[in-house]
Amino acid sequence: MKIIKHPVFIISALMALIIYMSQRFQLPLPNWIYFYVNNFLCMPVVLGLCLAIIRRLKKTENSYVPLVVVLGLTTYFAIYFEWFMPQISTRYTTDIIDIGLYYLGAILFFSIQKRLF
Amino acid sequence: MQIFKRLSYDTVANLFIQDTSFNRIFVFPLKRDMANQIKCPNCGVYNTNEDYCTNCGTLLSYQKRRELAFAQEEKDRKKRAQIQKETSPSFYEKNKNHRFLVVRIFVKIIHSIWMAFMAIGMFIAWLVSAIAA
Repeated sequence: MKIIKHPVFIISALMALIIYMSQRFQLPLPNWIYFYVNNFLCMPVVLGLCLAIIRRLKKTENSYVPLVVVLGLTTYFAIYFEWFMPQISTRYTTDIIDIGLYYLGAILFFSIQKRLF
Repeated sequence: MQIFKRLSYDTVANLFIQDTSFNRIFVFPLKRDMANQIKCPNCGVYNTNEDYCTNCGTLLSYQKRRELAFAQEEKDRKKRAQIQKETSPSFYEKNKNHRFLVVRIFVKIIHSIWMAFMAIGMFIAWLVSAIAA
């Protein structure tokens, strides 16, 4: 519960949601926000949510995600969204900067998780 | 006679067989005093306020007997579980000390809570792509 109620988590999740919505309603926003901000926010939000669920399952409040798992899940996301999804949907495109942003967000989450949550 | 009407045939008969003293007859038939009169299932002797038969030592108390039965049942259950565990160990138990390092690592990964973490993450990825597309 500590994670879901944390302002950093809420703000980043809301930002991702707002950007996604404005993309849907085609609001005029700079292109770099559309292309890159959500990719950067994706991993911290997803990892935080996963950690919150795991803590709920294990009934502990002081477990943290190890680096191997962070990198593993990030690699999965990179493969899934940048290699697998472009093959079946035209909405997705492969971009090396996106992959970099995924890893940047993941490393950021890993380094600040003990201070925040 | 009014006293005896309230008693069962067995109790009255027993009164005369077991304890024929005049005093005892007039104290005994009161219902509240009969509460703990138990006939020993083994030797037939009547006991008053005793957990074990004064004659042969058989356990009389209903409560105690039930407690002992529960304890025995619990012990049996634990023993059965132990045997079950020994005869059919789980996949993890069987392979955690496997002679190949690859198998040991694989089993450890599968067994850890972070596997669930990855599964939740994968589910979220699928969910996001399903909503967006």
